[in-house]
Amino acid sequence: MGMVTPAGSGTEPLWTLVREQKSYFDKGLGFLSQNRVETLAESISLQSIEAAMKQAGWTSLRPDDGVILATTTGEALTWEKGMVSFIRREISGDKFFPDFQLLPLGSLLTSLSQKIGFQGRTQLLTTACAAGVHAVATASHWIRTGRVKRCLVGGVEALCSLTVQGFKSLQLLSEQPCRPFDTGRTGINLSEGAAFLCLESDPRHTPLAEIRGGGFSLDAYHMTSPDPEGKGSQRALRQALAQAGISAREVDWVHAHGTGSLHNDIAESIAIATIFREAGLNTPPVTSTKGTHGHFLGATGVIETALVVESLLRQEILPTTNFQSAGDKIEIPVVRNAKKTELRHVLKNVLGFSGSNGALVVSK
Amino acid sequence: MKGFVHAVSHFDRQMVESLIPHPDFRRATLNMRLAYASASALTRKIPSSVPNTRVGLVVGTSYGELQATYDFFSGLAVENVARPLAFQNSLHHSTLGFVSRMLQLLGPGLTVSRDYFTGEDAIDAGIQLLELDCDYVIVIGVDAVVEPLRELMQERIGNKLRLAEGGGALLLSREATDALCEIEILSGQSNTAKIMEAETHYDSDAVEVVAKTIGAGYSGGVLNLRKPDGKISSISLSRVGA
Repeated sequence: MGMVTPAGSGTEPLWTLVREQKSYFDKGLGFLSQNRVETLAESISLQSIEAAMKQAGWTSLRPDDGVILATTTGEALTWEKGMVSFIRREISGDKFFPDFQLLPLGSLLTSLSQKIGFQGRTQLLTTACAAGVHAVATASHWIRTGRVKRCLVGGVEALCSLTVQGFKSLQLLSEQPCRPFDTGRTGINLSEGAAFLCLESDPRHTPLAEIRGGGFSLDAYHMTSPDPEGKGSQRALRQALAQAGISAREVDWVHAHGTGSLHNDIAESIAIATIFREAGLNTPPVTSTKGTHGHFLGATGVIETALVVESLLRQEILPTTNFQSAGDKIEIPVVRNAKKTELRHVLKNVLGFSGSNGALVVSK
Repeated sequence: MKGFVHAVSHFDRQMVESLIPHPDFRRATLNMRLAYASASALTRKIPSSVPNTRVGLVVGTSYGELQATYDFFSGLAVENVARPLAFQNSLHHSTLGFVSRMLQLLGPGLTVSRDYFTGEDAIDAGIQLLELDCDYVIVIGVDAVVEPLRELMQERIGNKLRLAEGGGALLLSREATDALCEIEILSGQSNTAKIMEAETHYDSDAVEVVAKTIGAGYSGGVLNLRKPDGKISSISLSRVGA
C-alpha cells in the first residue's frame, strides 16, 4: 500500500491520526503540506505507486498486469486556471492549449502509464465518490477472471476550485470539523491525497489482507442525494457479502462512508442497519474516519480501504472522530473509541453523487 | 470475457433536440440527452421479465460533461458565482446518473474514460458487469463538442481527423440467441498476437475485413466482433501500441 495525505506519506500516519481522534483541517479543507505544484495529482500518484510497489516487492509492472485509477477531477488543478483566463480572454487558445490537453480525465491515466512504463490493461473509473471502492472491486474482479495476473489500483484527488467552489455552491461544505453521524453535523470536509494498492493472488506471497467481495448499484433517485432509505446501498452491501461468500453474521466491523452530510448519513445508517436487521442480527460497530481526514472524493474508497487493511493487521477498530451523540434516524452503533478486537471480515461502504453505491468485503 | 450485442442505437444533436419536450430534460445537458436517447431506444429490447436491478449501465465519455464544466468556470470567471446546477452536472458520472434515474435502472453502473480508447473500455466494463451477474448491460458512448472550445478540441485530435459528436449505445447480454454479433475484449501481448494472427487468417481466407484500426496508444487491448456462430468474422478491430 502506498499513500500520500495531509497526514503524511504512508498509511500509518493517517491511521494513527484517526486513532488519536485528531484532524488537519483549515476551514473544512485538508491540503497537503508540501508545496502544492499544479501537477499535484500526478506527483502524489507516482509517490504512492512507488511506495506500494516497494512494499509489495514489485520491481516493475509486466504486460499481463493491470492498472486501475479512480478520480473525479483528474488534473483539474493543472488546467482550471488556464480555463478561467481563456474564458476571460486574458490568454489565447494557443496559450491555453497545453493545459487543455490535460482536460479529458483519461489523460492522467495515460500520463501515469507513460511515467511508470506500463503498456498493459488499464481502466479509469470516474463514478464520483464511489470510484475508489469500484476500482478496488474491479481490480479484484480482473484478477479473479484472469484478465490480469496482478493489478495496481489507486485513487487520487487534488483539491481545486471546481470541487471546493462546487461543494460550497451546494451548501454541503462545512468550515467546522465534520461530525459523521452526529446530531450536530453541519456538512462535509474536503481533502486531497492519493493511495495505491498492489493486488495479486499469488499463493507464494503472504497478503496484508484479502479483497473478498465487491458490490455495485445505482439508486436512480437523485443527482446528488441518496435514496432516503439507502435501498441502492443495501443492494451493493448484499452483493459484496454474496460475492465474498459470507453472511452478515460474520461481519466484525463496518467502515462507513459517513461524510457528515445530513442526507448521506441517514440513508447510509438505514442501509447498514437494514442489512443486519433482516438477518436477525444487531449491527456490528460502525466507524466513519472522515472526522479526521475528510472526503477524498474519487480517492476516498482506496484511502479508506487502506485504513481498513491497517486495522486488520493491527486487529483494532478505529473511532469516529468528533462523534458525540447519534443524530435523528441514526440507529447504528457508532464507534467512539479505538478498540482492540478480533477482526476477520470488514465491510467497507460508499455512496456517491448520481446515486452510485459501492461496497467491499475486506478480510484478514 | 465476452458478450453478445443485441441492439444498437445512435443519436446526434439534431435528433435529440427534437425529442426534448419533457420537463425532466429542462436541466439536462446535451450529453445527458444524447445518452438518454441512445439508451432508451434499447430498453425496449429488454424482456419485461428482467428486473431493473439486473440491468447494468456503463457510460464511456472522454471529455465528460465539458459544457457544464465550461459553464461552471464561466460563472466563476465572469460573475464570480459558483452555480450549483453547473457543478453537479459537470461531474463525469452525472451523465450516467441522469440516464439511470430517467430509465429507473438500478443495477451496477460504471463511468469510464480513457481518451480515444474510452469506447473500448466502456464495452470492456459492460462485459465485466455481465460477469457480475447482470442479465443485460447498456453500454453508452457519448461526447459533445463545446463551441467555445471547438478549435482546441479539433487541434487536440489533429487535422487529419474531423471532430464529431454524438451518442451511441449497445445492448449486451450473455445470450447468443437473436444476437447481432459476439463481442470480445482481449488484452495483453499474447492476446494481441492471437488476434493479429486471426486477422491474417481472415485476410487469407478472403473474408472481408470491414474495418481495421491500428493506432497510437499504450494498450494492448483488442476488440473483436464476430457473428454469433463464431465462424465468420464480420468486423475485427484491433489496437496495438504504436
